[in-house]
Amino acid sequence: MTKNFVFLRTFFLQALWNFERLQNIGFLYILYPVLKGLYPDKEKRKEVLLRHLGFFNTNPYMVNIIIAMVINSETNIASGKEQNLKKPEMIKSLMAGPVAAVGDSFFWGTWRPFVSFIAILTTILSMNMFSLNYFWIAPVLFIVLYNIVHLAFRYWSLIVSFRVDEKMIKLISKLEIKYIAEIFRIIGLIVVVLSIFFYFKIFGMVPALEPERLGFSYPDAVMFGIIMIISFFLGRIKPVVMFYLAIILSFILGYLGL
Amino acid sequence: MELIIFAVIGAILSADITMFGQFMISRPIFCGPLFGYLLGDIHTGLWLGIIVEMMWINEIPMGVAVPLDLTVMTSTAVIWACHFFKGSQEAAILALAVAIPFAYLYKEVDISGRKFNTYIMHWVEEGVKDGKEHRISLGIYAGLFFFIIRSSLMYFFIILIGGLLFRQLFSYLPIHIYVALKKAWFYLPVFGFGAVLYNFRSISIPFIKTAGEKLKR
Repeated sequence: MTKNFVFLRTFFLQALWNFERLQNIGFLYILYPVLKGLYPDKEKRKEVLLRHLGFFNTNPYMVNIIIAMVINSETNIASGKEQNLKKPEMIKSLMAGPVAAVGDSFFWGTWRPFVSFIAILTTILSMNMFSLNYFWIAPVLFIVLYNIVHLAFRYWSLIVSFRVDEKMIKLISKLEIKYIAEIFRIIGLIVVVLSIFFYFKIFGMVPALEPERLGFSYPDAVMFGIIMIISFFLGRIKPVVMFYLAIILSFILGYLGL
Repeated sequence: MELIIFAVIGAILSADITMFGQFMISRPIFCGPLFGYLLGDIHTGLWLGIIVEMMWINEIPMGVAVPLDLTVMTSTAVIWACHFFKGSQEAAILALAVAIPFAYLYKEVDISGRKFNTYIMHWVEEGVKDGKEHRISLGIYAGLFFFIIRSSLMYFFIILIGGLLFRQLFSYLPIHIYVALKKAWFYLPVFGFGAVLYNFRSISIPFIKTAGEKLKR
């Protein structure tokens, strides 16, 4: 029951995100019911609560690992098994950065783009295969796929970290997340190439979109290809600049009748 | 009344970016079609959603960096396009172009809100020192409450003022700009594909890597 309660509270980690100490109050909010149970004496509890008010920042999906380890440590301190009062703070400061790097690169750098690519491919295919009534499939697929993995990981990492404590670090490294991420990136690339193929086929090869330009006829897919190459080489620039460049390019092409 | 409901829904979706959960309901590919569905044009919502999703694929909140709010950008563009000129591809693209500066304005307000959170954090800290532990929960709920209020007001303002600006602008555009916006409807996803492919430039596909090494030898 307590574990489920802690799990629900982890969604509030960043509710009071601030520039000075980032997620400190959110972390304390998750921890508070446990600390209240461990330290019935209010004065003693105050010392512990103040210990957890320092700077804290990690990936919100990975905080469950740190939370479980800190709770285990606080339980040991309260029962007298652990003498080092600074251990919970050490766990927080030593773990926050490395686990955040794993969470950022896997969930935000790999899994979210991957699921987005699946949804984009579904959208493009639904233009060709399904009627307009099926456009809801892509966003629903995106949310369901993303959250199945994300929520399962958050819950699993909390429960397992409670059980194995510090061994969780070894367990995470054994998961070969870097390797898994690389596999998803390769599959993601295939999905993107498929999306491009179907996009060009559906919107670039339509006879109605083949007017006489520069004295001869060519499909829009040719123009799409040129634009995509330009966009690829402009990849380094800011998306906002790229967006307005695309609009300006459309003006120029429209003005020239291309 | 509809405007207030949309402002609150927008604020709840924006809260997902940082404040609560991170279930990705704030991503353009979800919030775009959602507002499109609510206004009876899911196609426009989804199309704008995939354009923003692809072009801003790397926009995520990390560390102290406050990213551009893609939710407000996509949601307001879809609301304007579907409310004033339902089914018009040209209007949808113009709506997105008009929504971007408002997203920057929203970002500035968001930064001010996060600075205000520092005051609440110190209030909680003082409370803990004085034995008022209930301030921990109150601080969290206050952070969420102020965010929803602030964000709803911003959505309300952007939908209303930006909508008026967008409607006037679209009505007085010269004809060749309509043609260009129609082209942009098809070109922008292609720009998005280019941006996405740029992200894959560092990928190491084992087979290609091995073949490349053999060729080098």
